[in-house]
Amino acid sequence: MTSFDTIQYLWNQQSHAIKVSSRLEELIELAEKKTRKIKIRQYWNTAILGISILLFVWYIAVFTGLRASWFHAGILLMLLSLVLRVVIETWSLVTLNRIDIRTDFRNYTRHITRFYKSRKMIHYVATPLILSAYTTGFLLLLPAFKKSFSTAFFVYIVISGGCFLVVFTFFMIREIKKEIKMLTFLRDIDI
Amino acid sequence: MNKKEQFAIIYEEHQAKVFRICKGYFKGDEHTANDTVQEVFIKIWQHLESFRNESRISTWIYRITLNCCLLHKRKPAVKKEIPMPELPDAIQVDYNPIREEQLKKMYTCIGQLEATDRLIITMILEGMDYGEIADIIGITGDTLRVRIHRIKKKLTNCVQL
Repeated sequence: MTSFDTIQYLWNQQSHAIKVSSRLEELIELAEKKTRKIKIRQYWNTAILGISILLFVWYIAVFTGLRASWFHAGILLMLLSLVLRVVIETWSLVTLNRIDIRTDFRNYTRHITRFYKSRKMIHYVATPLILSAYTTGFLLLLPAFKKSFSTAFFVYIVISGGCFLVVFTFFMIREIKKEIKMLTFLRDIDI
Repeated sequence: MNKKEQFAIIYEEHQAKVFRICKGYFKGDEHTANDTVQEVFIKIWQHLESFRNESRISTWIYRITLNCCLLHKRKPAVKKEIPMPELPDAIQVDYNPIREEQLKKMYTCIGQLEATDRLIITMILEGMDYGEIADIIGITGDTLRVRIHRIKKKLTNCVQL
């Protein structure tokens, strides 16, 4: 018996002992639930995007007109960066879902690698720009807030805004690291 | 035959094989393999209506299996959404520590292979024919044969050590 025959023998031995944990009915239920969840998420994304755009248009029409001020610019920057982020994430989700999982491994790996390369570009170019635009917008609002609100409330806005930025950046960095790790893994795949 | 019946047949016929391929790919990690099996069959359920008999159903299933294994890495903390049922007593009675040790060694050696090689060798060990494996991976038969020869050599060297 060659060594590979021994491996084959061992492999065949385990066949009798394997039991998969999922039950059919539960699996179908879970599949249906997941399909519904994906649809709901897509509806939510579209809704958020739509509302953001409507807010944006409404804001321009009602408040700014032709009068420009740092306050208006600040709000516009914050809104624009949020809209851009939602557009990018929705586009990414749609692109990922469009990659055909039924295709062969080589083709699938190629498409997935391309997807993660585009994500890398987003993380290295678009994300810092969006984050800076959002922060700039927030900073432009501060003088107006200082004038309009009490000192305590102003301090609260500064601290909560700062905390949001720190938390958002932390999660962003974590996500970027994860996706870069995935890209490195995909690049190492030799087909 | 309705979708549910068709799915039940597919599940019955292929679940164990899908599990073993995933287990081989995830270096013997049964928990991750089980999570991935779930993902695979969810995808199969979602796409079942689009299967058009252009290839064998098994080719179609194992393509989804391999692609799910590849993508599973992006979800490090997958929740267990279906609880594990009690393992049947037969498994406990059948427990053989020497064989378990050998199996562990085998999985360690498979785990040392590159990702695609791990998938190829598990399909070979599952007794799938070369043509189908080439179709699933997306390479020519000749390339596959050369590759299999290389993988078998690596694997046997490792097991012998």
